Amino acid sequence: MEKLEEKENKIIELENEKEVKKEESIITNKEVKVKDLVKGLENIFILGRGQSLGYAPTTKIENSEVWGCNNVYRARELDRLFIMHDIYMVQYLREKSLIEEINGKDFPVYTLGKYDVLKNNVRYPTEEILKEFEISYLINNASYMIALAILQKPKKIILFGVDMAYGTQNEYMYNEKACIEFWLGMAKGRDIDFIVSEQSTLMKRRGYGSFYGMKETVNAAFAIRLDPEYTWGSKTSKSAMRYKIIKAKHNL
Amino acid sequence: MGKGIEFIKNLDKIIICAQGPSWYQCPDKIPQDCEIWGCNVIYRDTYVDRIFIGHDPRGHFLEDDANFFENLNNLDIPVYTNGVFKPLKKNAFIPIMEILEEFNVGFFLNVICYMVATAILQKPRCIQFYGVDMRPDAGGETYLNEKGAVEFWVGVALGRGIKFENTPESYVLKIKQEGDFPGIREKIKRAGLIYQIPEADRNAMALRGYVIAPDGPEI
Repeated sequence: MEKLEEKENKIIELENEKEVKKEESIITNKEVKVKDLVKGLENIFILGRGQSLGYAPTTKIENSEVWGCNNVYRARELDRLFIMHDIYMVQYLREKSLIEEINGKDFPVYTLGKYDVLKNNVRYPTEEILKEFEISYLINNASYMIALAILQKPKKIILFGVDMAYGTQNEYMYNEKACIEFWLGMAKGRDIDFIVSEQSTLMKRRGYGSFYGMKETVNAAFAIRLDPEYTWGSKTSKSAMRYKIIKAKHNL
Repeated sequence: MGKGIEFIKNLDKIIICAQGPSWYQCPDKIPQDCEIWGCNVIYRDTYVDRIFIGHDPRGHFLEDDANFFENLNNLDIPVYTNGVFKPLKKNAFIPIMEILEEFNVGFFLNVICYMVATAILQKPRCIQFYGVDMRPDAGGETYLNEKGAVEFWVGVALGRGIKFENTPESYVLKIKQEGDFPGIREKIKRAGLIYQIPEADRNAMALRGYVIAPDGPEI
């Protein structure tokens, strides 16, 4: 009987200890110094949850950082994590152990608001982004990530898993694809190169070439040849000044 | 006398006017140190300094303008196409090679992309859109992929420090319409070859009974 009481007391003691540690952890978390953003990197990898994530490098590349969104930390080692939805919603809808898992990691977690429950939480610098680009056009995780990456002036931004391929008839494809393409344009305009994984639908469309009005032919050496595509009349640029429409004598 | 084929660098503004419903907001009087670049047959509705046509221009004879080339020649404006059409007095290639050399990106899903990329090469202070509306109701491809391609090139322009202005009704760089087309204007009625045949025959089936033939030598 005594032994049982002793055991119970021990359990209660341990539980109390756990609670105290938890509280302490939250308090000290507020003072955690998260690692600063690094300017002038060689590469910033931006990882989404699309299928081409599987092609992202698995080893650390020198002078590069790997930024991921939502639960991508499960697939690759990250330097920074971005969760632009409310983290409780993400936890409720997708990852039941999200908060616990990311608190077990060392990377900073960027969110739109501030969450004391997160160990290395950083509020996304929206004001800085708006001031720098003078445009409020951030409609998904990847667009926030690319905008912040551009500010760090890396040589290259490399996208894996940002495939925008969940069917072609929904908002994901209609608006978000365009938004990401806008930010890639912004990067290009600022002399930052970008690479999009081959499997992604970004920077292309299916079924047609990427040069409107031109026919693309790829030769054996993978060089692309561009020729004007004539769709009307004689299939060449030979044309008359005027044309007429006449009743045909055939019987189609 | 119209402009020469050569583009002009460092203008204050290049206005790009396309055929979306906000086209009519394009100024009738051209501001100083500014050019208006139009696409396809927008010259029928508003003043333009240069015209860009990404597809085969001869397609416009059927629906839009039975005297297409003659009218372009009468306007004495440069016409940029993919391929050279000798009946056009001032015709040149869209400078795709120059664009590729500069940007090393091939992402031109419509003529506006070529126009914005060409405009960026001229380093204007500002690029302004009218009628580049990229509306969801314009058809799947326009909104699905072309919108992103246009936005990509706008991004390049902004990244290079070129100011960008647009009509509130356009969907470019946003996902909803903001303006409400105040004082909207109708376009001039189309006057292609198809309007020279009986109305009853102006459908895909009946049109099979007609052919379009050159009215004069092909050069």
